Amino acid sequence: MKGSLLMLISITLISTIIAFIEGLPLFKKKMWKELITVIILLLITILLVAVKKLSLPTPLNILNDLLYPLGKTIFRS
Amino acid sequence: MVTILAKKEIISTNQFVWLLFTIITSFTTLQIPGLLIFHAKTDAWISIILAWIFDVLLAMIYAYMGIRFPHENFVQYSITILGKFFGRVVGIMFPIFFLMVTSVLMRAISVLISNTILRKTPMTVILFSGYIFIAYAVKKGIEVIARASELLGPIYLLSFIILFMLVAPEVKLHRLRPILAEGFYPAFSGSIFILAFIGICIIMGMYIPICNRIENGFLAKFIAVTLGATVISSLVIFCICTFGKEQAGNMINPGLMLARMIKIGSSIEHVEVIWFIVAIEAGLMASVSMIWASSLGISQIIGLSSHKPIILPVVLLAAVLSLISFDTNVEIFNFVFYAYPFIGIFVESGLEIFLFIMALVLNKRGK
Repeated sequence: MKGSLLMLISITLISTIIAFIEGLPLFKKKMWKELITVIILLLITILLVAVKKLSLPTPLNILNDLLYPLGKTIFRS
Repeated sequence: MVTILAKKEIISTNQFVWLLFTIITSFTTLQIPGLLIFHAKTDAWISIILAWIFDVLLAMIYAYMGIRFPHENFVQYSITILGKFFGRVVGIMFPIFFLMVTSVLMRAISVLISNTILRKTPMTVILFSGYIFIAYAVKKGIEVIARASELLGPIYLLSFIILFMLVAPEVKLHRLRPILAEGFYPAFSGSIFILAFIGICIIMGMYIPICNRIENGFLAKFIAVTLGATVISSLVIFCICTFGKEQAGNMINPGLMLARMIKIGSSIEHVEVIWFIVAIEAGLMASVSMIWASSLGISQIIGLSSHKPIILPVVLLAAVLSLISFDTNVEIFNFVFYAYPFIGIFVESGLEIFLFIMALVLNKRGK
């Protein structure tokens, strides 16, 4: 649990750094669409870590849960 | 809708071949041969030949679509065919798929490194080091990636040839028998399984519009997938013939185990590290190509002027997915073995065949 909190903090920090590195030139050039995309992608990243912190299933876990029984039937080894 | 790239980047047919070869072979030869042998036993090599046939048939569709929609990749022609809304819904699945594959591949590579050569280094450190390399390479652009692959691809192929030559004395061909002992089903279902991995070369749909000769798309893919399938089937045959089907089927990385058997004279040992470094490098280059395809695809779906600003966010997203999706090694192998094949076949074959049929029905063509 402590590890996932540390991960959340570090990923938020890295996201903020990336937002500054990529976002500032875009802001200066008034490329709003690109800026919003960068911010949304970074927010999705932080959200995914938060999901993990709350012990909720991640997208790959959901896919795995859905397809695992089918896979077990077809690849029956 | 055609989104024009910020700077037109061009790759040659030769680079196209090596890019594809690196992706197919690295994605398939790390942990997959062990899983395939575990499933199809001595018929694993038949599965690969069947998968090669299916993949070549699939390549014809991709090459045809590349010519029908010149200068458009599958993300762009899905919008041309299905319109702005449905085209985007279908088109976004390709970049998301590449993102998912990168996260799984990078996690598998990191697990492999931390289990074999860097046992005391935390997996997270290995994973993030890999992603820093990926971010750097993708930022440099596809031309640089292509030139690096043009150099790395032949070395990677040569490393396999040398590996096979040095291990050849240990091979006992009778271990390949009996053939089709449990009927045709294990070989056939094994071919579907391996097709999901070889099928990653659908990334050719991203390369065709930037290739200097778009009509060479099929030829490039045919050469790459034939070379890749030959290497993979040879690896599987060598592993079964050297270790036997039970032992090879339980190995995490049979290729590495094969390389461990090499001893030159009485003093030179552990030469597997050299082979392993080349294999890891190829795995990283495959991830680089997929992150490039993913960020380019996402930027085209949204209609951005360039994909460069979103490279770092996409790399971070892939890194986080690698990190949080699997708690144990068993989880990753369960995902790769039981769930991934369906996702792979759906995106690689299903979506493209759907787009192909819709292009014919709606009579859509590129400009």
